[in-house]
Amino acid sequence: MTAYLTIRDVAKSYGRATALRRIDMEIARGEFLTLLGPSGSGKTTLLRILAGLLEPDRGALVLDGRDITRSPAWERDIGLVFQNYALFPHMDVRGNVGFGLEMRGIGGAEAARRIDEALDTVSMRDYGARRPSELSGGQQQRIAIARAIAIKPRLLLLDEPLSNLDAVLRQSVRVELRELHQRTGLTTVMVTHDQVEALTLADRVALMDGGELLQIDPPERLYECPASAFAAGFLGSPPANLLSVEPHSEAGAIRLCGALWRPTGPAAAALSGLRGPARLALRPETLRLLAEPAPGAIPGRMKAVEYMGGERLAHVAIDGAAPGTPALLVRGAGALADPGQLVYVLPGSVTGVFDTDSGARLAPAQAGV
Amino acid sequence: MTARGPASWLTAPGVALIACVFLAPFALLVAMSFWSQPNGTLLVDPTPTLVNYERIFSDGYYLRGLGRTLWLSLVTVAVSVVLGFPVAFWIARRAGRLRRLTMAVMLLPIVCGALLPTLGLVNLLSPLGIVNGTLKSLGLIDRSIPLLGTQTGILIGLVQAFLPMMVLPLVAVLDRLPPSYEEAAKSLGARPAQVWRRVVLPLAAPGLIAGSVLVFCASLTSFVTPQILGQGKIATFAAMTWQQASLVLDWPFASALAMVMLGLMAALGGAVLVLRRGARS
Repeated sequence: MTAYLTIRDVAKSYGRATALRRIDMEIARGEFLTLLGPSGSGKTTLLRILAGLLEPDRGALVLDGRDITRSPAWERDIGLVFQNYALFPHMDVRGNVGFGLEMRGIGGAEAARRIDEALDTVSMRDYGARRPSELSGGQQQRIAIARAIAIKPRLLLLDEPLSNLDAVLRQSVRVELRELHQRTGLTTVMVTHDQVEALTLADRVALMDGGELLQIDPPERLYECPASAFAAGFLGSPPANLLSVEPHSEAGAIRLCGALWRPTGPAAAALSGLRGPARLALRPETLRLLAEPAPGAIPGRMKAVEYMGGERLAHVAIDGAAPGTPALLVRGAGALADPGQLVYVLPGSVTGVFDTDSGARLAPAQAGV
Repeated sequence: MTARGPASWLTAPGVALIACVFLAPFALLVAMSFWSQPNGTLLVDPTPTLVNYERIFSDGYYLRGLGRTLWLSLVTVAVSVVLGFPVAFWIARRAGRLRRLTMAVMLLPIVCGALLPTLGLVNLLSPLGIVNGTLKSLGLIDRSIPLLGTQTGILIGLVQAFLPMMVLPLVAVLDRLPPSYEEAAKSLGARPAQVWRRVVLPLAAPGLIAGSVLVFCASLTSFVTPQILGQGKIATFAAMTWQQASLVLDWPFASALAMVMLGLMAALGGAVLVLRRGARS
């Protein structure tokens, strides 16, 4: 990958609070990258540093071969779409979209043509004379995007662009954003705390927590092969079950949350090298609920079943588990058992085995590079 | 049932009070400005006449007083804008104790009234006062700068008294201006000066206009401050009005002087309304 945007060793603190610890990242030309993480993970700080609204304490930013670390925001040619859209209320739509052109000394017919072009891109050509206050939230957001792309930015930054829209609109705008990206080919960095947005939109997702970059990978890989226990426990709805595992004196057996378990198949393979306490991640949708005992199945008792529309989420208390062990979540279509009944949970694939203290991935080894 | 607030009759005392002690005397003032008082008498002749207004607009003494007062008021507005905008912007971008403290300090001149701070200013500005004393001991001047009894002294007093009237409406407007407007402008290529001219200033305009009207009207009608700091040497329009009413006892003429001041304020208010309507369409 030839890097179009390089973020090298960037750190930022506010007084004693560290917002970004040490970020290294490379983004390819035309890539759609999402910065995903809980609040306080530093994703917005990183976006603001890219935009030039914050100065990093150290580190460097190189965009298209040019060091922009010390460039002021107004010289960066970076389009920015704000969470609250930040459309200028005293200008009409064309005034807003043309603002960046005006600042570049582009006027007259050329400006009019580029404003039309930007408005066409978001299908808002007929709204040019409206004031922002006369537009709905979704329309304001389109104008905010048109304003950002009218300057033909070298990088497009989106700060939680969908969070102020209602659920139905959010989905359609998500699809539009993806189409917009494909049409314009703009290198895009989007901040979000919504994993569905991150996974559906991005070529790659950068998962952040506590000011650190934990993993940067394509969505499938991030989801199916998380590099850390945090990633496994953050992604998915509900996220992966994280179960404590320990080697057992008996060969081939595992101590699962204190209970004896004899895994088979992929689980046995993943746990074969276990030397000490670790955490096993099993995604709820990879588990199967059985009524009869089977080799490799975990016996447990049904605690509750939640109907989620089309499928059910079963909460299973593992038999013999240590007190305080959370219920095992199993997602599936079957309405297998009533609460209190004995059930058997058979793992399919294993999402990962992680070090108890560091959260680092131990097994299975990540495929590919 | 919707909440309609207190019963209508409860508003009667308040409305009645305003009607009796403000509107009625005011109406009398309007009427009286068209009466006359023959020289050397204290008897009022209620035959409608424009003689008072003719006198104001033909006598250089009053025209000069009017011009001086207008000038003082406009300069007070200008200085208040220059001093008040940074303060208001600073307050609007802060939260917590420092913001509350600054707001309280800005409110002090309003709470204290005109007399107290002005008497304090006399000590500060007099030839043997703190300002001249400090400048002398620093060796910057060897003779006192006359501040009391000058327009400069009056201006200092007017600005300190009315600066809050500029700052408060500005804070109210700037509070509702999210920083993302400025950031959006920057990211679109606007330099700091352009951000101010194209985004901050137009959006702050309602607050600037409201503050300017308030400061202008307050300065125009101010009496205590120019009287004390001017030491009677500089006659403002309000002082002339007071002289006519309380010393000369020519009430019809004093009323006409008051009407001229009022007319100026009404004209200003009308101009602002027209401007705003024009800006909106």
